[in-house]
Amino acid sequence: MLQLRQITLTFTLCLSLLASTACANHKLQDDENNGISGDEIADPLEGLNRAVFGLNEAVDILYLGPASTIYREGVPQPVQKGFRNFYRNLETPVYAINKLLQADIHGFGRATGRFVINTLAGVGGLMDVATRMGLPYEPTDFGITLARWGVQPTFYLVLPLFGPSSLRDGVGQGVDWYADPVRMVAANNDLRTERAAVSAIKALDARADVDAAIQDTRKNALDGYATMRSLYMQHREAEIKAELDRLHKKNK
Amino acid sequence: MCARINLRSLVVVAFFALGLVFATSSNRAIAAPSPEAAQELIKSMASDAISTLSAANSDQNQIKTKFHEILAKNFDLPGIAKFVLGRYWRITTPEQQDEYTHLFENYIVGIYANRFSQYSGETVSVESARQDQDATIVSSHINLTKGNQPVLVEWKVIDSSNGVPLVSDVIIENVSMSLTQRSEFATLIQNNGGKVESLLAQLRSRTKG
Repeated sequence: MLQLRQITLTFTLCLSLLASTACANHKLQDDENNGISGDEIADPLEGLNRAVFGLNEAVDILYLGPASTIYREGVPQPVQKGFRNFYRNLETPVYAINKLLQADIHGFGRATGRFVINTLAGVGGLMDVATRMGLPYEPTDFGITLARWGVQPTFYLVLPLFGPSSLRDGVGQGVDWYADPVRMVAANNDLRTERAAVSAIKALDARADVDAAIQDTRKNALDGYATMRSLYMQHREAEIKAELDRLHKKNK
Repeated sequence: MCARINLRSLVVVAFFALGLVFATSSNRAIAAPSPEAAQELIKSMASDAISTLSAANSDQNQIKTKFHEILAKNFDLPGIAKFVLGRYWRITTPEQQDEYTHLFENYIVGIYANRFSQYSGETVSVESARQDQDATIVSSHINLTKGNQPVLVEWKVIDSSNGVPLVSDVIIENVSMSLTQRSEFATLIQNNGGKVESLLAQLRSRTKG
């Protein structure tokens, strides 16, 4: 019953996304006629997005930023590496599901292999032994799956705490969270706190990775919000294009 | 009859020849710089910048002046300024364009001087170059200290009108600095009633002193 509801929910979301894609394309064309270049993303919720951006900035300046600096500079490198391997391993089932949805059978096989090997031989995922065995880390997400199915980002979205996203990728983040087998297992075994701790470490690690870009934007940009929007969209679209090119080449 | 045909074919040939000359000359004007020339530009610029930064007893102002020189010499600053203003370039007066170009150059120099002032021994390794339409893209990695991952930086190099290669964009980890700035400036102008003056005012206050 739950399964069916899940499928229906996903299906409805996809349908509405596809519908809005058609509108967005139309909008883009209109904009082009008005001289706005194609690399701009529509931002109909700019007012709301700016408010959430301001809130995220406050949280980041007060808590997340300083905490991530302490994490990056205070925690020994090998420990950080172990943590990173660990949370990446817990995300691997979601990668595997998405590879399957992207019709990337080999990618699905590699992700599954990685999960089994690193969990069993890599001390529960703390060590990444699979990479050394020719199964490299290949992350993916439901946003990329949607892109593979032809869904456009549609419009820009700033999520509370999670930061820059788009309608497509925001839906992707939600679906990845909802369909995550590790989350379900954790929820059924009273491991919510442990899982939250892993998420927190991931957040610190990921935040530390983009520290240079964030500091640079705060210091140099005339409009930090607009700069961040452009940085995020260019980075994300390049990531997706590289992934789709790779899948396309393999299917030929 | 025979003579007429000859004359006609002569004219046709002449037109063709003329067309070819025009085609090649205009091709040369927009041709991408050779990979070697483009790589050489980035290498010499990187070594210039690093020697400036490693020089002891240079204060912030000296570094800024030196950076202005390096950027003015190696970057197509007027071209970048025009690109970044996008569609608003056409609706500005020549006086505004002049002021904007000047302000933009100072703004960019300030940003880069700022970025490089945190220099702590990073090195640049210049790698392959590939052609992309009328530009040559030079790949490089900035090798960071403290065990961080190297950063992929690509330099878009074009030939200036007098055949000197110049940098027209810096693409860091697939993010184009020129596109980012264009998006930022367009948003700023849009949110101020489409007035370019609002951007000029911000640039003025930012580049003061």
